[in-house]
Amino acid sequence: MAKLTRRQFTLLGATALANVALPSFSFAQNGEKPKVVIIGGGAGGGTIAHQLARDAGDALEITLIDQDEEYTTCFFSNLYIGGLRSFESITHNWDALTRLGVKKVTGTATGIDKTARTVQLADGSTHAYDMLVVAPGIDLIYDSVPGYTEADVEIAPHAWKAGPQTKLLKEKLDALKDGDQIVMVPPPNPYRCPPGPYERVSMMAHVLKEKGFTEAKIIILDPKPKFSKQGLFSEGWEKEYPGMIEWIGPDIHGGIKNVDAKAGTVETDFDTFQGALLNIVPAQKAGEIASAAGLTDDSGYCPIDAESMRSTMDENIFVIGDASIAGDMPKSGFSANSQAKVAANAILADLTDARKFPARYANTCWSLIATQNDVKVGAQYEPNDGKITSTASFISQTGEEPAIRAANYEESVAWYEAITKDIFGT
Amino acid sequence: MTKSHSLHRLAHSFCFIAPMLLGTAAMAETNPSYEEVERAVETIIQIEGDTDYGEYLSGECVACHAPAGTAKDSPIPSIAGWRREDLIRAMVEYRTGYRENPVMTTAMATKGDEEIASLAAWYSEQGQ
Repeated sequence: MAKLTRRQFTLLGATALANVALPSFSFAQNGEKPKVVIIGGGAGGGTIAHQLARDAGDALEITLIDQDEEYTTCFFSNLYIGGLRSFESITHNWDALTRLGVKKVTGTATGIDKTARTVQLADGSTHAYDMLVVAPGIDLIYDSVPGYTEADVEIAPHAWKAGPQTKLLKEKLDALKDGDQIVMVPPPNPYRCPPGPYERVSMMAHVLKEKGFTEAKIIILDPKPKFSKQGLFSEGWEKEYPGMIEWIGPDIHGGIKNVDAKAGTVETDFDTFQGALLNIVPAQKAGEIASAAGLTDDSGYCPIDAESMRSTMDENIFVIGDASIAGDMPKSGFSANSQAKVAANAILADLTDARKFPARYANTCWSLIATQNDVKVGAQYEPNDGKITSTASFISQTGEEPAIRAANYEESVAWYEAITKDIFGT
Repeated sequence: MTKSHSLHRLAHSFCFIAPMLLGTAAMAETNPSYEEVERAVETIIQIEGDTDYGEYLSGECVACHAPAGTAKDSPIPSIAGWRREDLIRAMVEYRTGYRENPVMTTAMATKGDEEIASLAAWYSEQGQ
């Protein structure tokens, strides 16, 4: 049979499957469609479900497993905290994907049987797959911050997984009085959204400034000696919120010794800091299912083949998004979306006669410092010596014209609309 | 190509991509790099784009330009259904630095003639 293009394949649909050669794989037995199961419906999982359904929806059985009925994006959640977006505007569901034929299963994946090729859920059900995509995002390592426990998240929210935590942080922020102090502890590398903690501080400062507070302060006790877009944030904070934000690196504070959420204190070698609001963001690792299934290495994240996002631990499993070790790429929604495209191409090449193209990745991260003052960083990536490597990049410049920063913000809003359509199929 | 022909083409492109070209179209006669743009467009337009490859590469574009196009008032334009030459020209203008937007300039820095031809072939076939 002549080689099919991906589009022709889609048009032919499932009835043609029996005639399609499937080199080195033995899927689609007994006339059944090959099964693709996706764990996690965020930027990575949603995108790949959409991409596969659009390109080969008639030829594949696609199941998307997520523990929730709806999904709040971490990206732009800082704008909700800053009062610039509604919670509804950053919350999405998978209804459009189910209309494209994706089967949405609400449940928590607890195990993967790599030999039987099944996923187990907490409710005891199992789901068979030919190809599995693992896109669980991150989990938090609570005890990486001395004294901080999972129970403390209700008092000192991390809000690093968008949802109820995000709402809680905003409630606490909105309840502050002038003269109150916020203490933020950002995570150590590597973590989801490198500029995120500093955009969050900016948005918290924006809320305090809008209220006319002149005595409120935000202290950042950073475990890292430097951070993403540092020059841009430092300049922006000086300009937009003079005297309000103080960043203290580890060479000054000497390390976080203890967080007492109930007392509202963060103790360091240097001093003990009191906060009316503590925002503690612990160290991170790949979502629990990844380590439970033996897909992680000592770093806590999942090694992948840079050409395909295929797990180096199992040829029938792909890991995309924050859970993966993606070389130079930051852990971001944009990165996850980009990685999903490469993995979708590899999966279609495995399961159908679609052509495999060379892996190419991209990312852009916009960060809002103040209304109409938005900075961005971005890059192109491709595999080099087995690692996803940056091939071209840019970053906003200090001292830029306000018009450029305002245009960046408008661009970021348009990007949000576009990428959420691409993720959720709306 | 004569200069008047080139300007005519640019004027034609302008109707499609006016929001992005404002302020740069007037540079065509004075900016010496525009000859570089013209030469590249002439070369790439001869290449038969691979629409499957273009579709794959477009995965990067839709993250900002949206799968079915952006809103009318969006600062990021819809690009589906543009004329092939207009698409090639816009991409080349970013690659040469004639047009400036860091996201697009960086995206195009890694695109060879083959990639631009394929993206243009794919996007020109999409509905507006």
